[in-house]
Amino acid sequence: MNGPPDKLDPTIALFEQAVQDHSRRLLTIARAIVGYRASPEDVVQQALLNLYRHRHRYDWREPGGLMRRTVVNEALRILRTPRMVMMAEDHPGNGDEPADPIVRDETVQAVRSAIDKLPEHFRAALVLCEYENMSYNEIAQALNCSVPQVKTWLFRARTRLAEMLRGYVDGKRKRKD
Amino acid sequence: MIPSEQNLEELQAYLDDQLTPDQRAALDQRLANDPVLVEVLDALHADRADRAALWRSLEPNESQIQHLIDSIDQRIRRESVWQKRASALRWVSAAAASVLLGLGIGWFAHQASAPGPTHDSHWLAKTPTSVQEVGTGPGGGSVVRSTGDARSLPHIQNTGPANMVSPAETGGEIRVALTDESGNVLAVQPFDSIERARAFTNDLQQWQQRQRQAQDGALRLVGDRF
Repeated sequence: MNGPPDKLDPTIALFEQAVQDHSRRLLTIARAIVGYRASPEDVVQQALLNLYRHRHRYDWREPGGLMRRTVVNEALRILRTPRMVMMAEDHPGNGDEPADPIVRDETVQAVRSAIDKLPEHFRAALVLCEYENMSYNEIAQALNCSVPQVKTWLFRARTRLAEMLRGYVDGKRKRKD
Repeated sequence: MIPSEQNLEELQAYLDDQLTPDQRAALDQRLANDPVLVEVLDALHADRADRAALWRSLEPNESQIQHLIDSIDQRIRRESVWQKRASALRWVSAAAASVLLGLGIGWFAHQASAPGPTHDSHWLAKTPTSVQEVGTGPGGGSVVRSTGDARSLPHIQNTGPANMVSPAETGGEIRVALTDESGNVLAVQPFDSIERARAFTNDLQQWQQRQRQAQDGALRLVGDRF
């Protein structure tokens, strides 16, 4: 990142560093929440641009939580706005993958398809909990809700996913046996 | 056996690492004595592993990350440029507004200080919208009768030689028209009585006569003798 013209502003360097450090995870969160309904790249760009505009308001020494919260809120905001955009599926995986790519892709597609059917708050809570390893309290702060609400969303999300994927999981186990 | 909702919630919290040490220890003890609960926990763990594969598949590669960072950089630069332009535009607008305001104030001040029509101005007269000539005065000027509305006329002091006229009575108001050599009405001076109008014409005639004599050199100032 070459940085904007005003190099005298110390928050700009901190912002640039934060973008370098957190872009990967922010984009993953955005992809998990918006799915095919919008462009995750646009979500992250807009969220970070909003942060940049008001960068003097924030403490940039530990920007991870701030950036996550902003991206999640921007993703939810985008999803609340009706749009007619279908995104191409161009998110290749990386490392630490199952040995059989066919099985891996099949499982990932099945899970992704099921997760895509969940309400957006369920998806957001799930990705923040399981991908970001955030505590229930942190998730509640990020989603601006109560801890019991987070627990409920997570429980329902997992229960619904298990129901949706029951057939696929049973078939996979049978194939294994 | 179908696990209860409470058991499921507790097992999920166990996997999320959200139990207190005491709760965790208690659950570990139950798991050690309950194979069904272990089976449920394994299923939850497997589901979680499938989702972990999905999260990993969603992670962008290096080129995608760089593309994202470049795009953000571009948007920030574009916004910075526009902010600077907007700032410059604001300065230009403010300067233009100041100039316009200054001009406006100057114009109003000029208008306010310029000599205008006053009621006690001796030479300021009113002109009728229609003028009817009723006679010729001793200096060749016109005696007029006025009708209709009156408008302001220019100050007569700077209009050059004016011809003297005789007064005319128009409906109770006496008006004396002052005309130039071509017969154009320069001013109309109203009077409330014929005596005042005559005195005015006499004074003006005497003044004009002295002016002409001064121009012809017939008059001598007292100081010239020394």
